[in-house]
Amino acid sequence: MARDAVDRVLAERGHAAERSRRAEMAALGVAAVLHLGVVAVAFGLAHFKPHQEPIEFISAQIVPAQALGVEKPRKRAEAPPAPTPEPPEPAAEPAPEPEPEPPAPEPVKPAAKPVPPPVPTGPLPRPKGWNDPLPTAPAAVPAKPTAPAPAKPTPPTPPAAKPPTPAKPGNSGGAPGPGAEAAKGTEAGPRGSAAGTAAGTSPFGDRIASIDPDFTYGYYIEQLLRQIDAKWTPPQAGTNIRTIVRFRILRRGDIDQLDVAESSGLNAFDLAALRAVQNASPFPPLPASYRNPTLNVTLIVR
Amino acid sequence: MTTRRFAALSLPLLALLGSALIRAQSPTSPPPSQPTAATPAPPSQPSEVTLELSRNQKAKIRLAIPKYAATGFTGAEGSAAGAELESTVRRDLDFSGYFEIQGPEQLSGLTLTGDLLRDRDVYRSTGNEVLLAGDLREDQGKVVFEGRLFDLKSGQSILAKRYRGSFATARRIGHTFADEVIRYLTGGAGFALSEIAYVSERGKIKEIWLMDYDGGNPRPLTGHRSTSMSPAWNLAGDGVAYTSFVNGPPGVYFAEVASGKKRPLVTSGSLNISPSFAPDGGRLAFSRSVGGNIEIFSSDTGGGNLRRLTQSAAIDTNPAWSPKGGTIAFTSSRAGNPQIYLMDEEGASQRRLTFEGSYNDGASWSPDGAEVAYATRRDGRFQIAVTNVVAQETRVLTSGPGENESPTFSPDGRKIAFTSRRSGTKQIYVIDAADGANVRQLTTAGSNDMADWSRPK
Repeated sequence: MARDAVDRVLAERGHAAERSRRAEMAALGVAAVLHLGVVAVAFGLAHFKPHQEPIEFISAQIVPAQALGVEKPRKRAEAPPAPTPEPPEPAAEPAPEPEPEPPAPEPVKPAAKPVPPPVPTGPLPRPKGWNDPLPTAPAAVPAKPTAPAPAKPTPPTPPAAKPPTPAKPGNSGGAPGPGAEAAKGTEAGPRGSAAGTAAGTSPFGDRIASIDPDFTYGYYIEQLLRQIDAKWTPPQAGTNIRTIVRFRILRRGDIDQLDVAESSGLNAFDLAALRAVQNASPFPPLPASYRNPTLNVTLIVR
Repeated sequence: MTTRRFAALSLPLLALLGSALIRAQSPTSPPPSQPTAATPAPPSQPSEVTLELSRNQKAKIRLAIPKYAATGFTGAEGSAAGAELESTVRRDLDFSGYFEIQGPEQLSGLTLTGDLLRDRDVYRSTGNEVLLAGDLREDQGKVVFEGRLFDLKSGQSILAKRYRGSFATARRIGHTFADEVIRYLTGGAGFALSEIAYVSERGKIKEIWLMDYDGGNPRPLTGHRSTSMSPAWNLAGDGVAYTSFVNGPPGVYFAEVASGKKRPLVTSGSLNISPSFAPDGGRLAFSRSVGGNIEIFSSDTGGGNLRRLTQSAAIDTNPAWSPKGGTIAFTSSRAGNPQIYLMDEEGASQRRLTFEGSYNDGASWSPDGAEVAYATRRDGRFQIAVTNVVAQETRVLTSGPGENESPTFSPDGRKIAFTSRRSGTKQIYVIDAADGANVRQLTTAGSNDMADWSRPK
């Protein structure tokens, strides 16, 4: 810290004077120093080496929820109880991945997605299970279409080429194959499109995650509340007071559209609630297997 | 008949296709999301969640980390790399303070089948929220690591990452993944890849050294075989400025981290010490001797465009440029004893920040620029204190003997590294910036001092 810079300097100058006295020893010292220097350099080089050594970031796939025994069907069972017999509009095809991952003809085991009531859409050119959940992604973009969704204006074209589940060929492993669909939000490193090559198939399974339109990630909700609670300092107010705030979480965890949905009637209380959310952000990035680009949160604060 | 049925079915299909195309062609058409609204409505509005803020959140994320699967390791070197990677991730996450971790030891009481599908509820039974599953493999002389996070409530995957590198990169892979886990679970930036520059004295020679943030991988940056001190990272994190006596009078030098190349920055005059970079990297503040007194100057990084910032008869030294620019903290004895002061980048608006303690020195900014840490003498002993520059509230983080000094904030602002003599020799320790808890010793060999933590990247 150079707590006393001047003292140090003076001390060093003393050293210097002493050094001149020992000048005759220097010659001897030089040899030793040179040797040590060589060793030090070699030592240093060895240590610096790792800096240059690359780590490959290989894209990995998201494991299907089923692999963990998630009874997804239950949730959806109540949902599509009225499966309109009419073929789900081809527009459902937009299924544009929120991320611009071009080389991802998602190979998916059609059967993998357990959409309970197999809609009697006999000749549908594609297995419903696969396409079904995806459309929710863009649909989820509430009100305000965010950049990511429209950024992919190609949706209409696929219908023609709409190949029933492009069973990606040339994949390693016997499994359906690792989609190039990497864990998203992995801006961290160069996304190796050479996914399953060297690294082989994933020991956790190679199917793409099924997509859950409902937000069931327990850890995320806990963390969200944890972060907000840490910033929440209720102003002096009577009991039985509550405000409802709404905001939207974007893929990377930052928020927008923060607003009061239902005022407490007390301006200070409303503002404190808004401030708590604002100060608590950014939140964690949305989970990789959650396909919607955003998450709308309604938060009741008492 | 079959053809008729087919025709009947395909007609509406075609119509829909057509309409979709038309809609898509129309420039004013709504975004592609619109048409899907017509499909069987999703259960509830997806991506909607309603929550109530409750007061009794568990403070930490409860994370289960069973032993990684390891396959294909042919030699001891690979196995050791795998083991190091695994322990690095564990230590990083532990140290971050965000998690309550149940590792293989704590999980040993559970009846696990090794099948994630069956074990989900078992992990949850001891309170875990998230599962970290790791898989290590050796592949053509390299280590391949795949790390995954699962939400145990929904069973959904949170994150999946795969890395591949030589055995020597095992630590770095571990650090990289740990940062990723922290980012995905907390939204905060990890700092497991950050580094600490410091002064290591070995055999009466003081060199600048670097180490990983956790004390691992210590290595010398300079080899002047002289006295070098006061390392200060540049903002890019690729170089360190420092003071050295290598050419006689103390001057400010710079060393590139990757190449080890050094060059003088400011060596004119009789004394230039204690450098600190401006956040834009274009300027440097340092102490310089003028007519026997030490004042604070700034210059461009080549030493040109010299500007004098302080004008007191007392000693003004140890400048620390605020991370967002605009302010420089420094030590001055103008009030009779050393205290921390603030001024703007031109030397204007000089004001005193610290009033408690008879000797305050060695200011270091928190990354958000809200706080300054420094060494303060209380009851005859040096301790680490932190003062908020706006509210001017101070907290003292250490106590007892040991001469605690030279603090520096971690890139995320949640930790402080500092020097202490509590073990007999000067060594570098880390504590929580909030309350001084979770003490961890980083160095053991030689005498080590003046840590400077690399800036957030």
